[in-house]
Amino acid sequence: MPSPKLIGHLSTGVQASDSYDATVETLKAIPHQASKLIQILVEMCAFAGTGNVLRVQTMLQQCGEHLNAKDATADSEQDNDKKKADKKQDDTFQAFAVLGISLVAMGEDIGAEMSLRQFNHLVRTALLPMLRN
Amino acid sequence: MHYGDPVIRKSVPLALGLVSASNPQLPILDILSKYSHDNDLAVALNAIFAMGLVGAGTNNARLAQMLRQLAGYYHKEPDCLFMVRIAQGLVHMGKGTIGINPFYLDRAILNKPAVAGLLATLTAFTDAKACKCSDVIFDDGLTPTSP
Repeated sequence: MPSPKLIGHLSTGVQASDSYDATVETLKAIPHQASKLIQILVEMCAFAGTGNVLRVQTMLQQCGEHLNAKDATADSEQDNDKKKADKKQDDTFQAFAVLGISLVAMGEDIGAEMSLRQFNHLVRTALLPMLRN
Repeated sequence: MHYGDPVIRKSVPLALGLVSASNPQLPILDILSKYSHDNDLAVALNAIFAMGLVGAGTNNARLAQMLRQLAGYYHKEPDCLFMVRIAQGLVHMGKGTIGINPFYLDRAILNKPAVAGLLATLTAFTDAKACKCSDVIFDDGLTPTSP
């Protein structure tokens, strides 16, 4: 799937210009799963090295989102079909969200230092469901 | 049984490598050293590569020592050993004359092609299974490949 990355790389450093807004709005209209991944790529490339805290928060939100859904299905294991449907859901976007945090935060010392702590939290929360079982 | 969320765990070391490329600070080295001994081999692999990124072209003696130890630790895991060798190569890249930091002038100017290059590499590593490092990159041309 090379095209999303291409779009991402093309929009490097565009920030909140008109072309950025237009691209994001267009991507939002795409119903396919990959749309989310591309949105994250465009967002992280557009704000690369800016240290924009709001973007980092959005990325963190993306990382946490899927975990909760998985927990909910683990609790109600009777519904097998639902579980299968959930398993199919592509979680590649989370990998990019994690990379996005560092890409946005790499622009300044303090931001980079703060992101280290967030990564530590991410690893710990990723371990939690395993410890519960 | 669920195994946590492997996607996030796998990409955290890569993110650490990106956030301080060619800038081997002690705290980051410590964290990566911890992940490089992870039970999940994919996490360890990415952490080792990230160690290479963090120390790329710095000739950092401490990091070189860590990688030598890792080479001993993973002598029975070919994939990890390959990655350790790559990381060692990165650390001594250009005998310390070049780096991969995409910033100029104390982070005032960002070199976009440099960022794109880093990002493309890390993108390949987010899906290490599909990438199959040892099969594709390290093909020595001697072992017959399956049809």
